[in-house]
Amino acid sequence: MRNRLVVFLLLGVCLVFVLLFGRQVYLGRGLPRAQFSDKKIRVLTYSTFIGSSGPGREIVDRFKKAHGCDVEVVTSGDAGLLLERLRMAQASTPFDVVIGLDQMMLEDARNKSKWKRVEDKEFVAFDWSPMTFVYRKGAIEPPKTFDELLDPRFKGRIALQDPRSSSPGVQFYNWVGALKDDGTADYLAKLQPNVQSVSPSWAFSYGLFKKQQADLVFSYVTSLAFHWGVEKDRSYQVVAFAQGHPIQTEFAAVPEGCRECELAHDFVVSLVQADAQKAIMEKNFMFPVLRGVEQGTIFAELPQLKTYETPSKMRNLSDWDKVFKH
Amino acid sequence: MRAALRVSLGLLLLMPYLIWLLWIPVWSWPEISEWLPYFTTALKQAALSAALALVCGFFLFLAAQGWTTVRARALSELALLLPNMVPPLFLVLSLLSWVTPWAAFPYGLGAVIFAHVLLNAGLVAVSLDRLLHSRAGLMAETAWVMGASRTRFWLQVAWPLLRLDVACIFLFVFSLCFTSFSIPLVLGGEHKTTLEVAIYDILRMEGRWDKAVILAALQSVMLFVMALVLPHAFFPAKPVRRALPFLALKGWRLIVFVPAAVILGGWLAGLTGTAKAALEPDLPWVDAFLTTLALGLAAGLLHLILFLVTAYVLPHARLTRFLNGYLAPSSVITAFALLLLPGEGITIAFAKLVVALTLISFPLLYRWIVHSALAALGEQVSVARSLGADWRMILFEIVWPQVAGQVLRACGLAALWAAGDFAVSGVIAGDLNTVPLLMESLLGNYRIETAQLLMFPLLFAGLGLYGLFVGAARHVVR
Repeated sequence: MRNRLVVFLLLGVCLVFVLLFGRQVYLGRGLPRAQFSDKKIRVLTYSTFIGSSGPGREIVDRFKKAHGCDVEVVTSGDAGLLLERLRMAQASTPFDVVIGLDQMMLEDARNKSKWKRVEDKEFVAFDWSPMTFVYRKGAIEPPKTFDELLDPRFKGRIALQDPRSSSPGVQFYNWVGALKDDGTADYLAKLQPNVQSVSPSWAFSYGLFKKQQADLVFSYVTSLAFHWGVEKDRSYQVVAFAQGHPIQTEFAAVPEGCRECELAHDFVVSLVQADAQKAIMEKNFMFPVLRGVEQGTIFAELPQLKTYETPSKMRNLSDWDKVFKH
Repeated sequence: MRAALRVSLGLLLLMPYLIWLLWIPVWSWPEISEWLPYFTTALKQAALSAALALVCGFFLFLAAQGWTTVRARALSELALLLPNMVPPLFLVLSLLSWVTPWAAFPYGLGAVIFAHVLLNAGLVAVSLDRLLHSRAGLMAETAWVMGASRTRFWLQVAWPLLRLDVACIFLFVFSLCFTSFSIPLVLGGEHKTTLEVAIYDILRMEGRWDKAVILAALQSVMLFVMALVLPHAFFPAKPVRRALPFLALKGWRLIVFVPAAVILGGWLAGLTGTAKAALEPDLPWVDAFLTTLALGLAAGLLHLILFLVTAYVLPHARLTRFLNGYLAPSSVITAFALLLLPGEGITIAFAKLVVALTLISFPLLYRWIVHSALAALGEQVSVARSLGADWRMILFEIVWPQVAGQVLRACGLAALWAAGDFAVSGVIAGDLNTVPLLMESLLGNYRIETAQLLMFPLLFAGLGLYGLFVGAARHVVR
């Protein structure tokens, strides 16, 4: 009896190793030995940037080849927990590069950590997009002004994100705050009947929109690049308001406590070079910060929206809570 | 030796709290207003969910008595337990797929309670089935022969015998609903229906680990105290071969398949229109699939080792009380605690991930499945000890042969849940790529249809691992 149990345990452990070894063999096929090196940088990012369909893997592989070093990528799960993950690692195994801070996080990032300057900046922007509402042509008559979002014809048709857990949610809330100021709570109260859902993440709300549960979803202008370019579906459109739209920008930075600071510097610089910018544009579906990369692609055809100076700090949530928190 | 192992087991389970105790230099108590509203809503939500699950579970139990053959009973039991075997996100997506083509989903407290009832009613039904047979099976048949009415049987025979067990079932379901995270996060909308969601908010908005850990501890202590009051096993180890047709709800027996049908049907409905989304050629699903298998298998094996250790060090009254009452802190707190341990690289990340997943599911599975199996052997162990058997012999010759089936079933469930995890993996996995993480990545890149298709390999991996452990029971115990 005991022998059988021990055999089962040993076989099980062996199978775990076989699976892990098989995975390594599968991943390492065609990899030249020159890629193994003593030098290694640790990159902290959010999971979708390095995930299978994100641009991170391609950028990392290219950097490894070009610099003959290893790159260890660590994720914090969601982008909102990047700074917490960084703070924890500083005492034990510090990171060399952080990718995925947005403009709302920069003040907090400055307060919580010190950063090295790269190209004379603490935080290097690597992609951006204006934000607006996406809709399907024919499903609704799109709103022409911000106030038209309150029209009863949109009752239960607008998908939003929760500003507590989603950066697009913060952008929308700040946008309302910037346009309505003291009237923010009043506007949100009037908007509430039209809100189909407040999702914990952008991906979830966009899923609801794609499943045709909602007719308007707060998202990126560059969302159109996926529908127009990949799905070849031009029925997806964005609304343009004369008041201007917020911009979401993503940044990378090198923490002061880096171990391979020079390589880290090079890595951040590589993010704003043409090949990485192309990968970011095509896989993150965001505008590149390097001019000209989008020329000849679907991104050059996207509508140009008027933008306004997006605040770099999250507005106090009291107005949101008054309306949506019960 | 056994005393040292007992202490080690306790310390291992408490590890997330211990790590935070060492790491956080200054503690400050959260303001009452930061948690009391969530706490009261969570109490209301969990109490309503558990009460309704008991009511629905009772009707499912009555309907299940309509299935009389051994095979039909086994199938109905599997269908009733299926909702507890799938990852919560699967249930959420299924519910959305049912409702959303026709109407806006009613996010909020009601939706959370409905999902929790759907998840747990089958578990209640199977528990009642096993309990009634083990405590009052013969009396039920006698009452039937003597011509007693069903109402009289329930009021005068079953209720006095089972009320304490029913309270234990209520408490277990209450604990599950009180600590639920994914379902309230997605279906709760703006209603913060559990403390777990409030804890996540505090971390994300303020980065206050001290407050988050205190709230998690508050939650654990409350559930622990409740479990101390009701320390009984509520899920008898042995499935029941015979039905009690005298109690059956005539003509309603098909409803035992309703919870499973709602979940599977919703998933299939969600797949409509995804056929065109063929798996993209450069999608690293082979890597993700292998890693998922390895992760699930390793988590299942670690559970097996810990259950063996537990079986070796029990009976012990204090440890039993601890294991019956303790629930791990939330996924985020456990995952980040493990990240604070030294070590880097893929192998370490894999090991930390396996440990984190085990710390979360081990207490739950012990309480649900393994406790009753071990508790039933108390007398045999006492007799063996008085006859001079040593503890090792007792473990391998008396305890293990009788509990192997239940323990391996629990390990299979642990493997299945680990394969479906994305909350802990998203924090710890780093370079590792699992199928749920691949799905999350695809969802974040507009590829919803492809993500839905990946549910097939995920289910294949999860159910394959479950089958491996359950199937192993036959060979290991032979």
